[in-house]
Amino acid sequence: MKRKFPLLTAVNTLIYLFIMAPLLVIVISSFNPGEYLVFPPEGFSLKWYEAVLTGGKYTEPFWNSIKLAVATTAVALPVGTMAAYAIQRFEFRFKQALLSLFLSPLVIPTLLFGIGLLIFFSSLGVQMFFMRLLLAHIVLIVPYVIRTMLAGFSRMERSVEEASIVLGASPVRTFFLVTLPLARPSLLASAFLSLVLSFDELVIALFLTGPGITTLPMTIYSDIQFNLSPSLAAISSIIIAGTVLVGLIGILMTKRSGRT
Amino acid sequence: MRKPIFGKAAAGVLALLITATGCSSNGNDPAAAADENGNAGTAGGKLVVTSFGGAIEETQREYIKQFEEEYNAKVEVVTLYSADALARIRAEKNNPTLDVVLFSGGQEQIAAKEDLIEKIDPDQMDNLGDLYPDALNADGYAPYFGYEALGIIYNHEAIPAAPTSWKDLWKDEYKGQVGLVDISNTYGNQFLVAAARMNGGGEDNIQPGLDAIKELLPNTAAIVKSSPEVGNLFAQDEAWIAPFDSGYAYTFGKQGVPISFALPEEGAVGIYMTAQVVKGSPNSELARKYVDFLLRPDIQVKTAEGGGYSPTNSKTELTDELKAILPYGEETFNGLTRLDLELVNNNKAEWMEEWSKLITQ
Amino acid sequence: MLRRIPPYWILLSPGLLILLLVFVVPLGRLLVLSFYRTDPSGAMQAAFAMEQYIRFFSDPFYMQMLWRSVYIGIIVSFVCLVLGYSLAYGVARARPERRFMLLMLIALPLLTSAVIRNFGWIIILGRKGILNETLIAIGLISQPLDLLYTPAGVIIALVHVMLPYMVLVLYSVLEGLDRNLESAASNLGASGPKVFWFVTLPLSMPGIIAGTLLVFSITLSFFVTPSLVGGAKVKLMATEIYNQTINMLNWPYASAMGVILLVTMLLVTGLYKRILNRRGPKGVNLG
Repeated sequence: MKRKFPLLTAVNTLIYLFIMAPLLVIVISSFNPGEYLVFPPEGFSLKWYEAVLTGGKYTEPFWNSIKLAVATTAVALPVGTMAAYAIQRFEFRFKQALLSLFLSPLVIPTLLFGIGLLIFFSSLGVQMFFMRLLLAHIVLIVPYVIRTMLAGFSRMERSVEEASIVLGASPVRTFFLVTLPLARPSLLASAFLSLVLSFDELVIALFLTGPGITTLPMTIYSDIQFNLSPSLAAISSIIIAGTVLVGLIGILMTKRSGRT
Repeated sequence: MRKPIFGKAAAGVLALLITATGCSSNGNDPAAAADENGNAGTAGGKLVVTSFGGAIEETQREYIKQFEEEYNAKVEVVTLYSADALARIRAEKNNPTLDVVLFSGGQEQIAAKEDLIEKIDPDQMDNLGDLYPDALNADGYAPYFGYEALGIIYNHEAIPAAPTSWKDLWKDEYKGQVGLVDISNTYGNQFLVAAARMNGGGEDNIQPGLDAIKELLPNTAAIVKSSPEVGNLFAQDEAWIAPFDSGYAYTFGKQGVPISFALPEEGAVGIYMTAQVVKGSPNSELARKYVDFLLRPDIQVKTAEGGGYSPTNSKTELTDELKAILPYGEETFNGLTRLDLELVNNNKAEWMEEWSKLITQ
Repeated sequence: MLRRIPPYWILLSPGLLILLLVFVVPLGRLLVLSFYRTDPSGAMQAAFAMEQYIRFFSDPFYMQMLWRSVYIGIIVSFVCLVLGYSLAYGVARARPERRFMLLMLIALPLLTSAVIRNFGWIIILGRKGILNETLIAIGLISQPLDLLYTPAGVIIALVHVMLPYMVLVLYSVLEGLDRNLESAASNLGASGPKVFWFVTLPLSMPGIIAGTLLVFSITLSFFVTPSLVGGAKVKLMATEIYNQTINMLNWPYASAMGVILLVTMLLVTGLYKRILNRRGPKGVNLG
């Protein structure tokens, strides 16, 4: 039953190499003992890792970014999923126009959006920096969720849902017990995109934050202006390592749950 | 059978709506908003200032701590470059969240024209009298607290003999080794003016400068947009020589990049740093004290050591080591070419278009 | 009273509410700005004038910029589709416990700050970079290729960062495909490529459409990577909007360019959907 795809594997290996190449350069440079980023490194040292981990400069921005990413996902995922479901499953007037509206934040350069929001919030006197940043992120992320969920819902057999309703389940029950489990891959993809994009967002943050709320991308951005310090490569390497670690934990967890 | 369930769902959505609107109505009330964040704009003794980030930010945090202790104040720092800071105070006009902004690219001229910054009362400033007279702002805004010189930075390993003139950039031996900065960047913009002046033009006649750049293009390794990229060009050996500023040469050099700075004989262009009080700042009194604080000799020593900003206070004494690297003294200060900011800012858009068309070809 | 509201409005309302409040209203302000006049230093005067739009459409320089943005967007979307499909297909066919890991690897570029990633590209694509040195060493080329600060380099870097979006969308569709349909087709005697062309590909159409539209839209508005890898010479709409907003402070012009970009995106995607609907499988409604 199981078929092999030697050609596919070969091609994909090359693509993975393409994905990894610039990241490898960064990881390798992070071990440079000198004061500035250079490739190939002139030696091997862990001092920049030590500086990043013990300096404490990046800790608070890191947690701010995590908080923001989680809060954004918590709102954007349900909101976007609901909208995508409505668009996919119901016929109504102005559907196309609404969809275009929902997706338009994707194409407005974030800087313009940032300035627009700053004028808006400022004229209202909204100075809750975290709240306004969160709202902006939700608007940015919802289109990604809708795009991904639309694709997910559309390939689902409607008959399964109909069967469930025929068998006496309410539409809401059907949605939670049949539709959502079937859409799990899309939900995971949306959640993942949302977390990652919000975590890495810079432009909006530059304009909407205020004192006390600095995100990790902002710290990196401000550091790099005067500094070619390898500590920036070290942070990126730590994030890369963290991601790979989460991936490995994911493998272990699926293995375990696969057994039971 | 459908309806009741959707009713339930609707109720849930309604709850969400109420929470959402609840938040926004909260936001309509600035006082409540400020309270929630614990940084009420109206509370005394608090200040929000901008910083350029990077190496200078560490120095800045150091002297801010000193300021906080001396004035029993709380100062928060937001990292924003000059252009970003100007865009931000413009968008936040009438309702500013910043009290003091730093500019290094002549943005104060636009900010003054658009009424975004406040004039300062000389009687309330302790250090104005000690400044070089030319460091004062003619229109009554805050003076320059530091300056740099736009000259030639070069890789002293690849180019052992220091360049002496802007014209050196056009030399054949540097073919493919010249780094240029886009004129969207202040340094790039000012170099364009310098090139125009060198060829008989100036702020009101940029064409000779554009013509000169056109001849320089075959020599360029890259035209980059921002300062860290210039550093990268040198660190990666993609460029050996570039028109750039003394402060960066200083910070890059401190990190071990083989960069030196040379003053061209035609005269280096002055780059001036100012800290301005934002119009409508609820803490303008404290903000003015902060601006004054930056003019003090002991603080100027710190900004010189940390960021490579040359001092504007005649009483500032730098170490011999720093004097050797940084432009220093009233004579040097007065000898720098000072551009007509108003002309530069008014013509910038036009130059930008001409320049873009020139380099995209 | 609530019972009379159609279910889709209930589902749409939270999203619409946030969108109206935090997106439509602030951007409406910018739309108004796009009709303002500006003086040379960027100061705005309230007006209702087409000045900004006329400036854009009467200058071939800006029209070329728009065209460059669109064609780079199309190339990036297409390359991403081909590479992304291959990756997503591989992930969907990998052992279940490996899939998550592979997806994480693919998403890594999104997790490294663009500024830092750009450092990697300088090292690889520069004239004395790894790629050029390698190609010269194995004798494929004799002169170093100009990649950095050219449209080619921008496309490479954009494909790199857009690939995760494409793969995630495609994977979410491919993973759920009924494998039995493929087996049935091959049991009936269809060759591998035929199964792919007539069964797998049509079934994954929703993902293909969603993925390409997503990548195209983001590419059009993305500015950090094009700005860093393209330098000053590769001018795109998004980088020019940044320049006009921050450096020129000409917000009316930047707003007008934003409006033009949005309309262009709607036109191109509308055209794309129309072509696909005419030729693609019936019943796929992706809006």
